Amino acid sequence: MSAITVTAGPPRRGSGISRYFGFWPVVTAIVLVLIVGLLLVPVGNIVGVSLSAGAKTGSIFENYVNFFSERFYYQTLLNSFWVSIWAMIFAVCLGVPAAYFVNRYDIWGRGFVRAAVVLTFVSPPFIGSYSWVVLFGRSGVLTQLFNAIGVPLPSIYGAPGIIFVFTLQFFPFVFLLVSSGLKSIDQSVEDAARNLGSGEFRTFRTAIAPLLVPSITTGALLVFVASFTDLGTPIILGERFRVLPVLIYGEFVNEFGGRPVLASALSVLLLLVTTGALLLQRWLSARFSYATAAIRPLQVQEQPLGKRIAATAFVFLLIGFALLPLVNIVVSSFLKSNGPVLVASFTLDNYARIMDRITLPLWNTLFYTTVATLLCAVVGTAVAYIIVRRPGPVSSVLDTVVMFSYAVPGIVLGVGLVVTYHEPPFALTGTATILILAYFIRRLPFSVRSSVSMLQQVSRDTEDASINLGAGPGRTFVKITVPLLATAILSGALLTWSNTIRELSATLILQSGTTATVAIEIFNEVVNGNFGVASALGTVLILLTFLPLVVLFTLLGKKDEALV
Amino acid sequence: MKPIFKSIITAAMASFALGAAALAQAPATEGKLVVYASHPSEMVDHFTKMFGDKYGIRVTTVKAGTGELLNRIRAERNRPSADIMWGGFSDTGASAPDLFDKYSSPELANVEPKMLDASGYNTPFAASTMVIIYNKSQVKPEQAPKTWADLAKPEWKGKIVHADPSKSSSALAALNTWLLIYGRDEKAWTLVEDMTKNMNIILKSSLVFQQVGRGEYPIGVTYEEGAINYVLAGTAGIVYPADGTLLEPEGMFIVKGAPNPKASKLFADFLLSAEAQKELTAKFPGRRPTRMGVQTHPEMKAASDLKVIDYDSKWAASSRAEVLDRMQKIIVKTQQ
Repeated sequence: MSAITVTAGPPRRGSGISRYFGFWPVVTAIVLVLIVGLLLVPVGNIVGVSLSAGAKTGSIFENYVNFFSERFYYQTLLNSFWVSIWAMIFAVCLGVPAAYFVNRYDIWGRGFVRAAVVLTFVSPPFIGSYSWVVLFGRSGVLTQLFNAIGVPLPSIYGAPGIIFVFTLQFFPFVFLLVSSGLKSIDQSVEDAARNLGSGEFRTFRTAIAPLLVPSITTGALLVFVASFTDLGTPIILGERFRVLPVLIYGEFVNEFGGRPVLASALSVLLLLVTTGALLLQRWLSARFSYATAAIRPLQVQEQPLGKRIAATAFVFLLIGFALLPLVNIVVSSFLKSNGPVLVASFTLDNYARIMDRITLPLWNTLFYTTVATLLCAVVGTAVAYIIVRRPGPVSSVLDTVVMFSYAVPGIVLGVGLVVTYHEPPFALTGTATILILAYFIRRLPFSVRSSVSMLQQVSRDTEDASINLGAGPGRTFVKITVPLLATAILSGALLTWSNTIRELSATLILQSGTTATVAIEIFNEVVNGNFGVASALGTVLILLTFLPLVVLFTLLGKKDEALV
Repeated sequence: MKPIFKSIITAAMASFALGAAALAQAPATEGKLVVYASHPSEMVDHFTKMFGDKYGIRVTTVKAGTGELLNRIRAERNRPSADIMWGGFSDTGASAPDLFDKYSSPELANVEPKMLDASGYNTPFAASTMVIIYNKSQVKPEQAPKTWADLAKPEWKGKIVHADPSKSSSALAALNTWLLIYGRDEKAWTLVEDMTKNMNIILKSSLVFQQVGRGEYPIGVTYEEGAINYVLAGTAGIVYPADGTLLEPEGMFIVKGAPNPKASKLFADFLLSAEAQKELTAKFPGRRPTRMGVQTHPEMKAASDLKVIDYDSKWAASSRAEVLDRMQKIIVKTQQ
């Protein structure tokens, strides 16, 4: 704990410890301690458990050999690649044009679209996936509707359904990152290309897109990893199409002890893939980073009517599809239920039923999410600075390790934290602290990535000037770098907030009844078949995620730009 | 910018101070009870509230699947935070003697003798049976399978949903039932393999009755309680298989080293009381009370009309690893 109180010290004044050790080395050390304690030790413990157990049977690689010699197992790895790669491709193909249209064209309802994209992000866990079955399942509402007019819909089950859902669920990563990338490009870049005779598409391809590469690769990476580690959707839509996380979940959540060695081996495989993807992204964005400063960001352009209509239609169709499960959840929350079956008449019963038990989970959710988001913003921005501005072996390790936390599935992290922090003197299981720390470490990459992308495009001239004029490194960071990064920090915080508020997999392992969150309540209700009650809770969660963001951005007077 | 930054830091520091306060909480004392439960949350909430109000005990519940909870109790075994594990079947306790304590409630004298746990761990507050559920709009009652063995017929290929026996105690109970009925030999396993070929094996047992009730699958293998809610809602029907089924007490165990042993025992006694057992029938159709003289819900077939097999729970406990291992091979073979 004491390490953390120190975090608060140095940024305020260049005095105290930092006088003797330097501001950034101290910050780096603190961050490393946090990451080692919250991430590496817990994950290491899981791996350690698996290896010691494996040693009994002779080879420590026995489980890997089993995995790769049995098609049932190794097929899950191939399946995970298949759905994640396609989801990534589709998300980029849809997210980049959508971001371009919304930011460059005078399409109708741009404010609404920005808000709606954030809404798609706040889809509550588990119930969001189950919603697709309610809509497009074999007896789904829309399936039946389309059947009635003679249009048979393809099945939502299996690989195509999972790819479809992942694409719609995760394209906002690309949309948000490309939008903020577009804002840092100067209008002069486009003007120059156009004046030299390039058409719009050619200009985009040759002048703008290269500057967007860090944003696009980061977005694509987030989609890939989110798809690769997602459990809720494939567990419901997969049927015989099994992916790696479903297999891991099955081995961890096993009534009869399960096969922890196999589960750990599977987790290690998952970690290898996601870590590999992250390293690839890092290499790509280092390879393609350009330092530009947008004095005059790209302008919105008037378009001919036809083009304006087409772009609006494209964006609205995409958003409309992505919002379907949310609409379904909100509508279902007002439906009367006959036992477990929802019927077509409206009521407030579901809300009456959640009234008396939502207070505590609600408070817990808000409190944990707020604290974790603030921590992520503070620590994440500092880490981003170290990575971009203080390159070296330590910062390179830091970069890889922070990204690694994005690769650790929630359930693995949860079990690892329980194993590590159950015994005194660090008996933290069941406390609010362990949940906040888990959220913090799990979502830290959002803040880091967001600031890194921005920082790579901001030249360091201003910072150097500040240092040369005599300000200390801490003061320069707070006074110069942080304001420069304000948009990136906010958008990182937005991602952190909306992803933390709905965190389920680690919370399932770490909560203790009194620390249950709204997401836990939703999970329990969906599992028990109370879709109406779960929908009411889901609606509350959607509001919780969305409203504070709107209020925050309105208060900051940046409603338009800061949302993306 | 500075004041904003300052306030962020202050907030972060304050939150850690709060975290530290939570850390320093006094150790749990009697007057409290921590229940880990894998039963439907409405039932858990109902009985824990009833118990808490009656005895002035502050009850905390943690709800998750039986497997998740068992793993958690195992992880916490050097410093237990749970008092009660409310879930699983009667043999769950005996199969993990390192996690649970034996308890023999005085109320057991009023419980059906068949429901008692010979090994002494379980408090059998309710019994459940495995059934076939079918969706009424997709399967006519006369076409529905009549026996477990019917599920192996080619006409049901891809139409049956069943939970993975290694992930769900009810699914394992069903598998054991099939093996016990058909002789536990190669012939029985062949039948199981033929049935499994027709099935979609899923991880969550509660999704079975939901998906059939909603019409995503025509047929499912599930526990009576899950099915009955959809029967009462009019979307599904139940088949009590003619080749037999099991009637097994459900589990409720006291965790070894429970921080609140007195409250735990009181809770066990309370669940077996006439008051709680009558409440069970009235509020939670589908659960069969175990106390002698308490009637089941009128919509359910009386226990005396069921063809109940003699469920060999000793065999079930001792052969569990072997059965699951073999079933895993069948799943690997048939589910790709």
